[in-house]
Amino acid sequence: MQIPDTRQSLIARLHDAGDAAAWVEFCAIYEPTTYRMARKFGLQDADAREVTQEVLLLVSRKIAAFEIGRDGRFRGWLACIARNAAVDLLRRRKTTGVGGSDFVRQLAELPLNTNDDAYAFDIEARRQQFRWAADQVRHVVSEQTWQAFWLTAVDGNAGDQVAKQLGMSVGAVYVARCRTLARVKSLLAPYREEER
Amino acid sequence: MIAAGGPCYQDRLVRLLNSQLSADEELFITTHLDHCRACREALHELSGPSALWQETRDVLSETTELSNSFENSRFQNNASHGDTIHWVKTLLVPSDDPLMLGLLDGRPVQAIIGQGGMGVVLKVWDAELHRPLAVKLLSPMLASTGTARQRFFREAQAAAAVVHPNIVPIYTVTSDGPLPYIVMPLVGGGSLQQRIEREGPLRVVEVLSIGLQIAEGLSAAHGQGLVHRDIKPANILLDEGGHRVMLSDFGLARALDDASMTASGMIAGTPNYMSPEQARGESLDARSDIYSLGAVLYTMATGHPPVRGDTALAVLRRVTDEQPRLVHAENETMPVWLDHVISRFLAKDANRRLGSADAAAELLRGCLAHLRAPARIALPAELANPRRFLRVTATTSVVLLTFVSGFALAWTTHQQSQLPRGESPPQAVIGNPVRADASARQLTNTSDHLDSKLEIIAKEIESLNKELQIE
Repeated sequence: MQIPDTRQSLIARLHDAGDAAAWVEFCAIYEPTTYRMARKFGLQDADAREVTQEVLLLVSRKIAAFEIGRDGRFRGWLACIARNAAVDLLRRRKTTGVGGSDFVRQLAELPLNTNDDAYAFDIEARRQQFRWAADQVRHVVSEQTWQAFWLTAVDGNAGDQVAKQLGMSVGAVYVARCRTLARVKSLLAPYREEER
Repeated sequence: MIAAGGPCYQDRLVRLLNSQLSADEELFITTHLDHCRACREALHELSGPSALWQETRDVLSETTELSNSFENSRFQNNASHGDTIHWVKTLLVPSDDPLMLGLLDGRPVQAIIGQGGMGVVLKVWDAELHRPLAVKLLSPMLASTGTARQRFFREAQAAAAVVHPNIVPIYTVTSDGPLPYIVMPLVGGGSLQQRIEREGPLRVVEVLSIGLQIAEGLSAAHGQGLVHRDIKPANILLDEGGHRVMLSDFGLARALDDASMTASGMIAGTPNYMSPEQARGESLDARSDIYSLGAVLYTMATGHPPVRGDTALAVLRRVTDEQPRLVHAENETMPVWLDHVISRFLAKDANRRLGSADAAAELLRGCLAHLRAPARIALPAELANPRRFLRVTATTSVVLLTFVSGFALAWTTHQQSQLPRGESPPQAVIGNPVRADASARQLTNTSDHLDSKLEIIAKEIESLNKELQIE
């Protein structure tokens, strides 16, 4: 698995149109985030996807303007651009309406609060970052390790019970689940640094 | 085992998490963890704060309906036919015939034959005229959206207005039922996309003749002020013999005077075949279709589109920023002049492309004539100019590159012969030996890169010369 070591290298790769890896990561997180946000705003599937494409396209255009070395807060910067573009576009949809369902029209009449929307977007993005990181880890650990992690950490089963179920020693179950989480944590680290 | 209060092997637990222990050590600690509660707790804390464990439970235990519907349908619609049959069936009147899916306005539905961004395509039997029909049904999700419904009818109106052998005709449009639909003839040979996926690159004669038919269909559409906007192999249908080509799916077509839609700059279409101006969301004219036709020609000749990428966005960036590799470099069986033909379609700047579908058709017709009687009929004259230009460029490049590589080599040798003597090199030029080395390396790399380009150019010159001799 390729984990980008520094944000610097990620920016360099983004400036290089030949390497899509950085985009894959960005899109894997912000496509679903924007889409879900749009659905929460009451947009239909097709319209939500349209907004999603527009947001990502806007970000892709702005990336050329991001200067390498400019204090390096790259992911935070990307998240901020994506969030502002999404909230802005969705607000415009709400107020002008898309001639769509009654639900959309009803929503358009509700009072708007940009801060709440931006906050909601951040929450959604955070969840998607986690899903993305977990998905990455899942592909690089054995099925048994993943099961040990899932059954204990997500389903909340006791270690010895899971050990019996999977035919592992209790110690091995603990090692598997903790290593898995540590890997997820390291993938999330660049996104969570700003919070400290 | 050990008194509670702290872990027994703090540092080894850290290395265990990072997979840095030897196999023996790992087995020892893992066995120790079987019964040491303190070490388990320490490992738990080392791997992540309790908030992260909480987040794991919260996020991973939920599978929302929204996330599923998105994953199923990202950019292409990947939902399986099984799901579709379900919602389609609910709209049909049950039929006595177990082989039929049901009845749509009295017509028996035989199968679901395709699925696109806008809805599904059904195979329906026309009992009166005794022939199969294709019925394009707008998806229920889109039917409830105003814009999509409008777009659906615009497709029908636009396509119905153009009558041409290379455009799929529209028989009827029905909008009074729960879901609007369009009735068209069933074209038997599948799509060009399916053909390329099945057989790989086509022969050069077919590349040109299929291209010519698309150009002629486009010419008719453009004559009605209609830009297709979504020319791609999946929208190009073949008849059963595979010789006649029909353009379908004006799903994104818009009348040129429909300013409101064009102004929104909305991105809709398949990125691999999009023109650069379309990828940038700018307003379009007929020349955008010319670019897309060029991308289809390229795909027929090589088996893959000129730009590829892992995500739609990566593709979009490449459409605007990158030059595709030469067709001849991808498929050696293609004549070198085909690259000159395709480059007349794929110019990034619309002003440097073929100006109209008519001009495109004429060029392709000329090439086809040459191909059928190479001894008697020369290639179209307009291809001669870029060829002369290329020859001059190539010759100049050879001279220049020889000079540059020679210079680089001489310079490197010079540096190496100078430095051991202990003389300090001229500061302004080189700085220090380390940097001089790096520069030399860089130059060598550059000349390696140029060498490979040179090779391609040399091959081109060779085949051009052969061609000139034939003519």
